Amino acid sequence: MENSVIIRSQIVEAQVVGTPATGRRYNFLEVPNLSRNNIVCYAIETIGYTQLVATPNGNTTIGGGGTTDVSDQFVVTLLDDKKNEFVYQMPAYSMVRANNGGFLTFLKPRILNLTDCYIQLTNTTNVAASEVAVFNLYYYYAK
Amino acid sequence: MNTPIKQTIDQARAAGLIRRNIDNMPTSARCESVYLRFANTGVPGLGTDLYFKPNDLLDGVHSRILAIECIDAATNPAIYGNSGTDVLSAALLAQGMFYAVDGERELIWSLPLPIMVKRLNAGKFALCDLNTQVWQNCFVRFTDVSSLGASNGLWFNVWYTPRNVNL
Repeated sequence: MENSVIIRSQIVEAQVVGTPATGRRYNFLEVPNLSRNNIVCYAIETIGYTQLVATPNGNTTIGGGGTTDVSDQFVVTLLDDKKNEFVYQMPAYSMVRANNGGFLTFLKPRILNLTDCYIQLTNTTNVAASEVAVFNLYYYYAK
Repeated sequence: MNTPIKQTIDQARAAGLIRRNIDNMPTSARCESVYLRFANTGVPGLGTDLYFKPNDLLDGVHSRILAIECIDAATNPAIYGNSGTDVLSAALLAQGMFYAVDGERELIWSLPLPIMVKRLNAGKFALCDLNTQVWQNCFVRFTDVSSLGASNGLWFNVWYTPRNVNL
């Protein structure tokens, strides 16, 4: 059995802007060193409130206001540099390592367009404005 | 059968993106315990970086790091040989992140500390392949410092294979 090896990783965040609403798209925040269409994403992991209460940017992890993990309340869509939605509305819960026998969600490596990617809430319970859905992106630089 | 999925897995394995033996390290691997005692480092402040002490053995020029494991209080409540230093609980570890940094001070990767606790991840290691790291440039940073005290500390097991270099 295999699991992903960390080559490079970066915490990325999608912020709930305004009053939380189901179905609305909340885009990922820009990370300058990941914004040159030069990163190839090969694995992604959802980080819940019980794994990281606040991000290095000082944003509260989603569900933090209710001090509860709400990874089962949103889905994530990833787009590549060609605007293809190659991961569409995947439940964030299924990308938490601890929920999946310690395994990472492994993707066929693609160049990711981070700020085109987004989350959508399926339930707004315990979700507050300005909280962020947190993911750990595993990547390497495109040659 | 050479299916597209198998081809993808073979390519990923060849590229070093995935590795077998996720439950155990290879027999050639060694393990070094590394500690950060807050009584020595000072209780972390918000945004303060807790750097590791220099350790030539764990620098990329001398070793390849295969995995880094963080020990939580449920795994072992006190730092080995120092019963007065309490290891952090999983809830408190969720307030911190580990940063692996190379010799040019470039961030290689970062992980929330609970991701590095085997017990919280079905016994699986957080596998890595560090070859350019400088151990004393690596650090831990807390995004929330509530409930951290001078009697606390961090305990990491670093799994590595040494390179054939005379130290």
